[in-house]
Amino acid sequence: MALLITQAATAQVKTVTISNKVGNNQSTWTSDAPLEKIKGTAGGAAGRLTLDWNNLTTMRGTVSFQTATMTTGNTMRDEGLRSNSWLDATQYPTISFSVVSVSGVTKNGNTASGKVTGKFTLHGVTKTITAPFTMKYLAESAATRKRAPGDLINIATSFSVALKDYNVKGTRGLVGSKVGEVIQVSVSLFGSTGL
Amino acid sequence: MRKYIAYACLVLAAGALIYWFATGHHYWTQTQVQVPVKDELFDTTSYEWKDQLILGLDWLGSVAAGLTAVAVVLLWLERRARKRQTQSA
Repeated sequence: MALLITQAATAQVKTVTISNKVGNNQSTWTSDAPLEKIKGTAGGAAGRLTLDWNNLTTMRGTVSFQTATMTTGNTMRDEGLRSNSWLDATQYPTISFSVVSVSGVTKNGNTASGKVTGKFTLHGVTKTITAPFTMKYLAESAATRKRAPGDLINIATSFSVALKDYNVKGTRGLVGSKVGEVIQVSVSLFGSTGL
Repeated sequence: MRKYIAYACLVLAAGALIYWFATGHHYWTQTQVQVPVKDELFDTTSYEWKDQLILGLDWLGSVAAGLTAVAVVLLWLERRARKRQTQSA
C-alpha cells in the first residue's frame, strides 16, 4: 500500500500544450537534388503531449503542422508545393505525428534524449517511423514565466521522408532532378504545462 | 564597334553567371531568405524569413542567354561585313 502511494506521488504526468508563446514552433526541411537545393519551413504547429519527466517512456500525444504554411522563399514555388500536384494543402491540411512509444531515454540534468516511435501522416498516408529526439525541460521559474506559465519544454527531432512513400509525385521530371527524392526534416517544438 | 559591343555582351553574360554562382546558384529566384534566430532561454536556433531578392537562373540565365545571342549576332554581322570588304577589295 505504501509502495503504491509512493509510486503515485512520484508519477507526475503533465499535459504539455504546444504553443508559439513558448518558442518558435517550426519544421525545417531540406531537399537536395542534383540541380537544386531547396530549404523550407512549415509552421502552424498545434497539439498536446502528456509526459512524466521522471518516466519519459510514457510520453504520448499528437502534434501537427499546417501544410499551407510551407515556405521556400519563392512565392511561385510555395504555391506549387501546396497545390494538388505536390502536398495538396486543401485535401490534406495538416502533417502530423502521433507518439506511440519512447525508448532508450538518457538524461543529463534538465535535458533528455532517446528514440520516439510514432505514426507520421503526410499527404493522407500514415507510416510508422522512429526518430531520435532531445528534450529540454525547464521547471517554472521567474525566467520561464516571462514566456508562459507552467513548466516549459522544447523537443527537437529529425528524420527523413521519402516522397514516394507518401504518394507525393510532384510535377513530372522534377523529383530526382530539382526536388530530392528524400527530404531531410528537422522539427523543434515548444510547449508549456501551464497553458 | 560591333565587335567591342559583342565582347562587352559576352563579358556581361559571364558576369551574370559568375554572380549567379556566387549568390548560391539558385535555380529559381528567391524573394525571401532564411535568417537564423537564437532562442536564449532554450539555446536553440530557429529560422525566420526575411525579404531579400536573390536572382536565380530563371532570370540570370535568360539575361546571359540574351546577351550571348546579341554577341553572336553582332560578331556574325561583323564577320559578314569584313568578308564583303575583302571581296570588294
